[in-house]
Amino acid sequence: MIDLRRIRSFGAKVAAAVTITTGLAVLLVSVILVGSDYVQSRREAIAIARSETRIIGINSEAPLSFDDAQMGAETLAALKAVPNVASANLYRRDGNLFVGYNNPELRAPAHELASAGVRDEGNWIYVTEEIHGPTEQVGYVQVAFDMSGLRRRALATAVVALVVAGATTLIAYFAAGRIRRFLTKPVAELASTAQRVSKTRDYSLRAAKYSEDELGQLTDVFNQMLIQIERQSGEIESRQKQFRIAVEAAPNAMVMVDEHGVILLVNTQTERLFGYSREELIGQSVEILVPEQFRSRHPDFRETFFSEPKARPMGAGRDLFGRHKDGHLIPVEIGLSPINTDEGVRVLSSIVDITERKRTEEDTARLAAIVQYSNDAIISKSMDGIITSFNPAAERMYGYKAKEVIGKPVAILIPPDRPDELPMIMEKLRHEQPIVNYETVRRRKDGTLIEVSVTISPTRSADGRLIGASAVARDITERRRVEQERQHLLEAERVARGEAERASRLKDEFVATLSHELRTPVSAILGWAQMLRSGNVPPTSEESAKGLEVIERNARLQTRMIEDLLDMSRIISGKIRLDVQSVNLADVIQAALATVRPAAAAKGIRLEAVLDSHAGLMRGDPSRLQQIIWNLLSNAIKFTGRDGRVQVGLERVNSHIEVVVSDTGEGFKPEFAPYLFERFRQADSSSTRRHSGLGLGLAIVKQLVELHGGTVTAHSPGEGKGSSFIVSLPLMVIHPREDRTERLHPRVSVPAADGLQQPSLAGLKALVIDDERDARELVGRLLEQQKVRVASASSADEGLELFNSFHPDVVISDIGMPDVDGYELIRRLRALEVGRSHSTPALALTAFARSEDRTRALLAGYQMHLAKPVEPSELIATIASLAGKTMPS
Amino acid sequence: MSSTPLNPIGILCVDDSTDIVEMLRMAIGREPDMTCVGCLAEAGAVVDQLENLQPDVVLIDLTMPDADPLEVIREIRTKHPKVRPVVYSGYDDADTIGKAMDAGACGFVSKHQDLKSTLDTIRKVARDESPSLCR
Repeated sequence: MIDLRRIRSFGAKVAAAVTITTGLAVLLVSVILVGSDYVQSRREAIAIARSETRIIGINSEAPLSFDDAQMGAETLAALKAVPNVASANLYRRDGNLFVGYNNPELRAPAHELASAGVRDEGNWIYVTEEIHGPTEQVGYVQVAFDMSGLRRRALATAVVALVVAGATTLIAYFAAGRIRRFLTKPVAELASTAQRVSKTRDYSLRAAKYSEDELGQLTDVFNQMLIQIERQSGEIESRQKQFRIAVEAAPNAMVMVDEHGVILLVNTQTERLFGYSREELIGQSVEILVPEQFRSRHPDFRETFFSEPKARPMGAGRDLFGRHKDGHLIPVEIGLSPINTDEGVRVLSSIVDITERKRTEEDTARLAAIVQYSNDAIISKSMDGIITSFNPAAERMYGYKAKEVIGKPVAILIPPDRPDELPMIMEKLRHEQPIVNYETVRRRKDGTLIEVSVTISPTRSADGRLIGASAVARDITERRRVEQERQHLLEAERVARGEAERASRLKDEFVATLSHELRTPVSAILGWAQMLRSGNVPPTSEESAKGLEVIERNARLQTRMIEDLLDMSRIISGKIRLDVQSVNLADVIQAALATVRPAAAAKGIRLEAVLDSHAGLMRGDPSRLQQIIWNLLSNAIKFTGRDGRVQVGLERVNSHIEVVVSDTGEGFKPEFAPYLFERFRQADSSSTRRHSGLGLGLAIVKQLVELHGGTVTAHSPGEGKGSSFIVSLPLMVIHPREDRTERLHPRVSVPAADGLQQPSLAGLKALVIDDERDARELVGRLLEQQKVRVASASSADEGLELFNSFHPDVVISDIGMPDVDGYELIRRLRALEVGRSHSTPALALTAFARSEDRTRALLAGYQMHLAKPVEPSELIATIASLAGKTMPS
Repeated sequence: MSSTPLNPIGILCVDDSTDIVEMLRMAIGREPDMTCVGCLAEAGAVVDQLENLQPDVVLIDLTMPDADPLEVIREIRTKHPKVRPVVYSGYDDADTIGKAMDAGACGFVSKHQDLKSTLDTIRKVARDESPSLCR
């Protein structure tokens, strides 16, 4: 049988079907016809056989009934005419064979006598009939008929039928070929189109339509399907393309693997991150991207993922690393996402290189540790000046705990007297200017101030926005102290060195000047001496006299210079001794004026003197005082041009005597004022200086004035505007005892104290208050000589204290004192005495000598007023009077 | 007495010390080949007087109260190149001599030299073109 399923060609199938169907139909018809013909023929043959057998029977009744075998044989012999009778037997009623006949051409198998009827034995049938006489059965007849002829005929018919069927099939086959071509063309077209579409995946192909029948409809449906597939395929392709683009465009490395870990897709970032090319990765096991030590476990992880595929980060809580082609490990973070595809579940890994983040995290951690353990205070603040962090060093430095200040304005650390500092800092930060080593002051919690050096830098958010600032502050109080100390030392050293250098330079200049100045008179002396000695100058001539005068004058000049030098030397070594005595300064000034007058006259300089003759009584060395005045006057004349003016004034100012020497000369620059009184110092010390001299004059003046307890100052409005020198000398507090010679002088108006009986002050307690030490000591010494117990105070306050503890019998006080003057003192003293039985007598001893001063003192509370300088005897008498001590009898 | 040469060296003495000026005038007056054409106590007057006094040599001190003698020397050299300034100073250190020469002085005599040396230097300067020095 042909298996149609094995036939691949639809056309062959159609042809086969047509052919087989036709053949089978013809065959079936033939079989039916042949069969029915055979059955029919056999049935007819059997009927004929029975008829013939019955006829034999009828014919044989007689023989049997007569037992005439011959006749029986003859009856049977008639059967010779029937070709298909193989044998015929006549049996008696008891069944015994009576007579038989056998066709010599046919030999039928022997068969026992059967009951009447037909026995079909295939090729042979045995027909048995009963033979009846007129009254009874006489025997049996059995005839065997050869039926093989029927079979042969049936076979022949079948062969013919088969031949007809074969011919018909053949005809059908050829006819099918024609039909096939007609039927299969659309199908073949469909098949070929489908094949081409399948092969080329070109869904734009269409099958040609050949008819409007079912195949035509099929072609339409097929083409519709292609259209749909084409559309869907486009969509799928577009979706896949988008997916690829998305993966490619991802900022991270993207790797898609299947459940076996085979890499299906990677993007450029993956190539970049791992160093492999796309071609090297696709189709490879993803484990090549896994560090060796994790490779063995990776498939298990993958299996776990695929067993329950859902999006999640990989290796949560563990540090993950990828392996670069060159073997180095890359810290990564991996996100896993399952993707359902037609081929099954895939996993898409998104791999982020966190090298930079790790580094940042490490940096951050390191930074945090630095901040934590830094010895510098580190404070962060927001742009509105709110503290956002405060490290332990800041806690130590500022005394605040972090939790106390975080959230508070940073201004709490800034002293209130610096209101502009924070706005200035914030302004700078806003302009992105860092503040480096800004030295300032900060306030601790306890209010104490510390000096700090602050460096403030702006801080930015990840997107670069200015979000605040971090300030690193170092306590530089100690450093500042050390610096200041060092600065002071350096300064002192610098000053000392400068001083030494200046001294050395001045010394050099002085030696040059000295050399010049000492030799200048020598030049004149030598020159004139040579001339006089040459004999060309008559000894009695005017020239000779002039020469001798020049020699003498220059010798004196030189002598004075040498004396100046020696004076300076004595002053420096402290060996100068003042011959102190009572001096009227007006006389001294007059004497000095007389000395310089010729020099002034020589330059046409006008000399003026305004002297208060009562002002000038003091104690001092008259010759040294004259030296002072003479030096100042000489100096003024020396530096005053022709027709200028030099003025000297003397007056009493409070408890001092002031001598003012002023001129209209060159003056000096204000900056030279501090050096005027330095020895060897001249504004111009060069060899071409305009003025000669050793530069010792003013230095000697200063030393001598100071030895007298006074001061000297110089003033000038500027160069070319003249100058004035003011000598301030202390007034004598007590008139000195005149020595014997002077006491005999008629001018002495005050009788000598020891010429009178003096009152005894012994045992008296006196409180002496004067801000001037010399005055205080002088009065004290005088009183102590009178056996008075003396307590001294240098100020009113001290005096009031002593008054309470010392309980003096008498108070002697100055009026002009700093802070609290003598008027206020006596008022307070009197206030202390309120309620006491008596008030302590008090004496005002003051340079305020006018009558109104006296009145004011008495009104303030003093009993007596004496003007300085006072005669010792007068003072003693006054005190005695105040204390109620009477004269000794 | 020897007769006065036809062209004695005319010398102008400038020093604020009258003693020195007087001495110089007297000493010069005794030299037959020299004559003191004038004495000035102020340096500022020197240039103005040159036309009038016609000196060959100006003997000038360096310590003058009214004007800087070095400036005066410069002015003499500029305005009267034939007049030969000689510095006569008590300072005779190298620095001072250098300054004087730089200013244009034709000679330098220390005040510490005796009169004869001083006068000889003046002679040399007056006759010779090259600067002379007498310390």
